[in-house]
Amino acid sequence: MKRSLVLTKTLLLSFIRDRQSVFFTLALPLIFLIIFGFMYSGEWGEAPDTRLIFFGEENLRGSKELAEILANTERLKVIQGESIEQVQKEVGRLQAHMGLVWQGEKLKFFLNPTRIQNNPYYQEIARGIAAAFDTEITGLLSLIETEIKEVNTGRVFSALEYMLPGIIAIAVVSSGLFAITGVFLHIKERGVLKRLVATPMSRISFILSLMITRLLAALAGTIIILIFSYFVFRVTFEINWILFLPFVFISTLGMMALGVLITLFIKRADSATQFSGLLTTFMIFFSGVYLPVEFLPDYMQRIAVFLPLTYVNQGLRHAMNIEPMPLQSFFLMSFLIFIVSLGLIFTMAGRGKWQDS
Amino acid sequence: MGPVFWIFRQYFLRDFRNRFTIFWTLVFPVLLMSIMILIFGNLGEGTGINIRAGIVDEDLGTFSQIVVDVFQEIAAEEESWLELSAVEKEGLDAELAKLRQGERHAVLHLKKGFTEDIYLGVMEQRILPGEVSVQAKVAIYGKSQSQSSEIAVSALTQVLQAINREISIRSDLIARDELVDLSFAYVEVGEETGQPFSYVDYIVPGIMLMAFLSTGISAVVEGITSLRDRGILKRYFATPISTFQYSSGLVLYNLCLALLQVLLIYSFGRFVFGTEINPFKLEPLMYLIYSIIVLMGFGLFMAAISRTANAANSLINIVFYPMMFLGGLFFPLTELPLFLQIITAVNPVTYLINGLRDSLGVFVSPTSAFLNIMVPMVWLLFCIYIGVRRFRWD
Repeated sequence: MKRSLVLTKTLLLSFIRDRQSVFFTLALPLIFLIIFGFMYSGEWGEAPDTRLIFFGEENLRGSKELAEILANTERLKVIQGESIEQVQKEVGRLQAHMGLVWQGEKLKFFLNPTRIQNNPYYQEIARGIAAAFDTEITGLLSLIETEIKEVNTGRVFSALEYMLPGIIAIAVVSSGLFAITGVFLHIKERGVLKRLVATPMSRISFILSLMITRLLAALAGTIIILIFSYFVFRVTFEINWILFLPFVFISTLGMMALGVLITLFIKRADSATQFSGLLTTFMIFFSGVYLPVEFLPDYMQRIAVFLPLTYVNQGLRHAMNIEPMPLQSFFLMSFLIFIVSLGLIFTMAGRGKWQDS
Repeated sequence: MGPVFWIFRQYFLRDFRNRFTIFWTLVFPVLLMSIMILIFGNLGEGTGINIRAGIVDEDLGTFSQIVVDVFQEIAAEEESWLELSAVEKEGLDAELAKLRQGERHAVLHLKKGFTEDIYLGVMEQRILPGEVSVQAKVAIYGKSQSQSSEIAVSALTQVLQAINREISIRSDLIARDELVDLSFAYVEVGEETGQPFSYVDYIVPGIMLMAFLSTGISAVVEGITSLRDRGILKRYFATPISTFQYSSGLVLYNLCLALLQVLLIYSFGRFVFGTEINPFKLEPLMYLIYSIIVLMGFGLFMAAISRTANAANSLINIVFYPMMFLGGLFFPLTELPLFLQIITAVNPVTYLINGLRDSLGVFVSPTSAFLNIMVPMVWLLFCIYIGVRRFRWD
């Protein structure tokens, strides 16, 4: 027991002194949190007003009604334009979100094509204006009353809160995956493991100490992210800690097991570290961390099914009460990850080569 | 010239014998470009996603069947945005359960009495134009706080609005030519070519600069600091080679690597995705060379202030991601909070990419040409000053 504690302390100090490990586990997720936090704070909450530059010749049919409709449209700031060219120029220079020209027959909306993600939203506003204008000008009334209803799948949350599990998942992946491909393989290559095995220390003790170190690192990363997002972005949580904490641990074990799988094919430490970095980048793109999976083309969505980070993300979203899943599925997923991970890790402990040949 | 070329050769062999270096410097930019184009290249068109919708028609009348037929026709079109997962006569709860589980993006519920209410509404408007007290009820269910569900609900609503208009026209409540036409047009954001905006043309220069960022900062810093840590640099200068010759060899290698990256990214962009830009004209070429020099200067600065390779690696990562994400390489950055606006304003990458895109005719620079040259120049001079004063070869 004392030996294990000493070993755990040593590995923990080694982790703290390894700036690269600390960076990937703690600092990198924070950087993403800061960038995306400031970008998305306010989304799904208070959206900024849409700036619309309008040019319409006076005394035309509908000009007065249109001006009234624009003035009454919520969250729309109308700027008066002097000409069609000015409207196009302001939209082109990103000074206005959209432009509108009315010359008596057609409502022509101008959009900037580089606002790829926001244009559908502006088109929605435009259609609302057009529908209201139709009613005013032509007397077209709606025969159909459309009621929009939302099916709540969890509590109300902001876009940043939706991304938080993904950011925590980055910390978990870094902590778990690089424990094996970074730390374990490197000390094996340097002959340190060979010497350790020659001592009374058992392999299982070493692996347990490594696991504890990395679990603590993942937990520290998670807590730092939560604290930071609370104090800086005023994010509120409804975390089910009974599910959340064990799932963070299980996911970290899962990532360590992934590291073990990688070492079956890649023996050299540098290569394994590089490959892990590559795999992490790949997983971040395709697992719904940056962009919801459903926005990817169909064939890319199928890739997400095979990526461990997808399931880490799903589990964390469930435990943070953001996107609940059936409880049975959550437990089954957690159980499978736990059993398979332990199996792989302890197989490596028992049968793996600890000496570099 | 001999020693310079020899250093060039050493770096070339070191990097091109390492498959991971080849991947990160040459393959990854192309891969990232492909992913971005495949995801965002069509996002502005149509709904951007494939919508899975279910319809529950409890009315089973003439008009509800018309609504169902319209949606089925849309779903049957080639490359349709709509996938009609189910058309049920009952079982709203089952459809809503599938919506919660993510099998549907939206569910359309045509309530009982829909057809009758349409008839009543038409008759009422014929008798009392401008008055409507009876409206046919439709509910569209979406999943709260799901972007794709929001898009689905919006798309279905638009279709219903179009159906409403058509019913009104065919019921002689309104003449088709009385209705106001609605159209959308994208403004020209680059050179007036008459061609529609292309995200491919927009992203290719961004990917080139991202590759330079990786080469100029990561490769330079990691390369120099790891050789310094292992005492190899010190041994170089025990030979007749001068620091100037060494630096020249390193700069020459990085310039050639940058050229290779541009060729690869451009070729892929041109022959696979059909980009129309030409980075080999004088102005864009000068911007590309300027960019790699500025970013190498940044690399020198970071190598100078880092004592060890480990410290350098951490610093690279702290600087690399904000420079990349807050430089406008992939999307224009607008509506940022003040804190991020400041970072974007001092980031040399912001001006380099604006200048490059402007010179390529892709996007009129939101910053002036003067700033596009001067801000990176100020950074370059600062980095060289600090780098020359503080850099230690051992």
